[in-house]
Amino acid sequence: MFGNVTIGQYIPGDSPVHRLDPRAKMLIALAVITVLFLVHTMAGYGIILLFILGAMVLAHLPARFVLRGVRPLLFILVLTFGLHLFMNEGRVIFRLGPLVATYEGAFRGFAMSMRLVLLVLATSILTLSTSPIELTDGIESLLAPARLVGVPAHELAMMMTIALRFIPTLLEETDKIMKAQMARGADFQTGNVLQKAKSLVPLLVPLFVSAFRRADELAMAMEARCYRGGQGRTRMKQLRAGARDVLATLGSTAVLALVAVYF
Amino acid sequence: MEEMLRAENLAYQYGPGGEGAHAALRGVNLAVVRGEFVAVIGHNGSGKSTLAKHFNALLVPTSGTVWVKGMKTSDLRNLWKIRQTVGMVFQNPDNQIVATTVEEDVAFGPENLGVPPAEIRRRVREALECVDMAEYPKHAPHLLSGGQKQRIAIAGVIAMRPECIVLDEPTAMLDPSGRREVMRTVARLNREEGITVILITHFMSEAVQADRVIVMEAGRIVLDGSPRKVFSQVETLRSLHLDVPQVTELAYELNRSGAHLPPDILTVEEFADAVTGASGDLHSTAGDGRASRPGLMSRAHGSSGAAAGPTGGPTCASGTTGAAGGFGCGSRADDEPDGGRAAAASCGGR
Repeated sequence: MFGNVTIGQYIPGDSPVHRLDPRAKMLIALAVITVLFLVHTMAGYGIILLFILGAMVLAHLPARFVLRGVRPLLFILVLTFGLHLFMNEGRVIFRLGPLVATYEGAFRGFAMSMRLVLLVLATSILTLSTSPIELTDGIESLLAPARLVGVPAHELAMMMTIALRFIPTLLEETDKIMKAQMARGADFQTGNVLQKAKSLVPLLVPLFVSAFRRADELAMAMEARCYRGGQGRTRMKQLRAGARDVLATLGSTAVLALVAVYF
Repeated sequence: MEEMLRAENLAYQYGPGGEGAHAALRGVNLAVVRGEFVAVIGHNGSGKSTLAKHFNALLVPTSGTVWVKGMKTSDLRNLWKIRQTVGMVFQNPDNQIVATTVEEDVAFGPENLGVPPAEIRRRVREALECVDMAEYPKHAPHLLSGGQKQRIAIAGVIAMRPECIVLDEPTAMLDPSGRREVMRTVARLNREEGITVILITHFMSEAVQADRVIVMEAGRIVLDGSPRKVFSQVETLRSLHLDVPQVTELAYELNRSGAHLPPDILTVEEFADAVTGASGDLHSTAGDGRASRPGLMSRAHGSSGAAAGPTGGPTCASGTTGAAGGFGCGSRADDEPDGGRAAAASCGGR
């Protein structure tokens, strides 16, 4: 039932974007997102769209995978556009009862929708071209300086790793418990929302109990292997940013900064 | 011989003092020397897991002392050195694998120790080779079999270069082939790498492979000696609700029916030799050179029948004509899934 669940949406590959240091990719994605909220002309959005499409092509990612991320957003996009269309003052396009659609509204609605779409596209390309492990390592490394002000960078990364490790295990277990309950007559399919939610109780209780037991045992196993938090710890895989990574980050950031200033 | 572990008057209580307390260990004295392979048996709640957790300072004694290579486990300054010296493998393979790929998980221990990256890589490769998992460095742990996962857990311990490994029922959740894989790995680590092994187990066929067997009951050590010495005490073990290896039990039951077999038979080969030796002209049919594998148990009965049958049963003195079922061996099939059932079927009870 949960057999084909993939974690994250990483598509393995060997493109220039895949090979880029995860930190470089995250910084560039951050830059794109920041600039998205600074530009306010159509040309600006156009340039960022070109930038994102360029990254997509460089990453050898099929467009349908990248666009798939936008689909759940459709409702919000329509709502955003609609609200802006009717809620702004300006030159009238048409009237719909008490609602007045304006050109200014249409423009702002389109701009806001564009912003959302580009936001999703940029982060999709990041997660599609970077494995969860690389992302975790990247986050730990980028947050490392923030440790000085009390951000638990290593702990956050360790939590992500353990979550990634145990998601398949817990899904498997959920499947097992569900089947065990169904074999004894439990019904997870029929009824209204409330009844369905109620029928999940006999599933969630054993799942939680087992998750806590697992956590307890895992903690003991980690301690037995000398785990004592981040201090004094080395990593087998060192993230090593090469000239290419630095250049890519600086280049992209410079372009995006110019876009932010001029558009 | 250099001493690896020592426990003196070790007592441990779960819970706070007073009424809720439960004494898991009540005065354990034990010394293990370097290179020994010790099996600890005892039924549930006898304190064997609690004892295991004392050897790498996951628990510290309520009273008494535990030393690991001369370091007191109660001294916090020794903690990390002790945990590096004594590695620990637990029962559930799923709940001790931390990382999302095999190599990352094996690297977890050395990373915690602050080993330089290049050295970690080397250790990971060596450890994976050591447990025959070198082809799986990038695999996700949840896609491996139970035996493979448990071997990864062992590799994760080996990568820390321990001198002693404590395994707390490592095969309890595995299928027969997984159990064999793990036992083969453990035996090799002990023989070839000279690593001291403490194996806690429910399976007598595994305990037989050790140099020394310790039997625990109600928080105390009740028997301690070579497998031969321990398992020949069939009555004592039965009174503790423990099994003896099936061939040993078979020999015991045959002797009770009037046969004259040595009481300390541990393996199928020994049994076959004893039977053929006693009956003279017959040769063993069970000796394929692999000692004490549970899968061979059923063949033991076959060979005993074959050996005793044609001679009219002089060794067994029960006058039956070769059917093993006539000997009245009360072999239980419940906890020896491989072979046990077949043995019971061929024995047919009393």
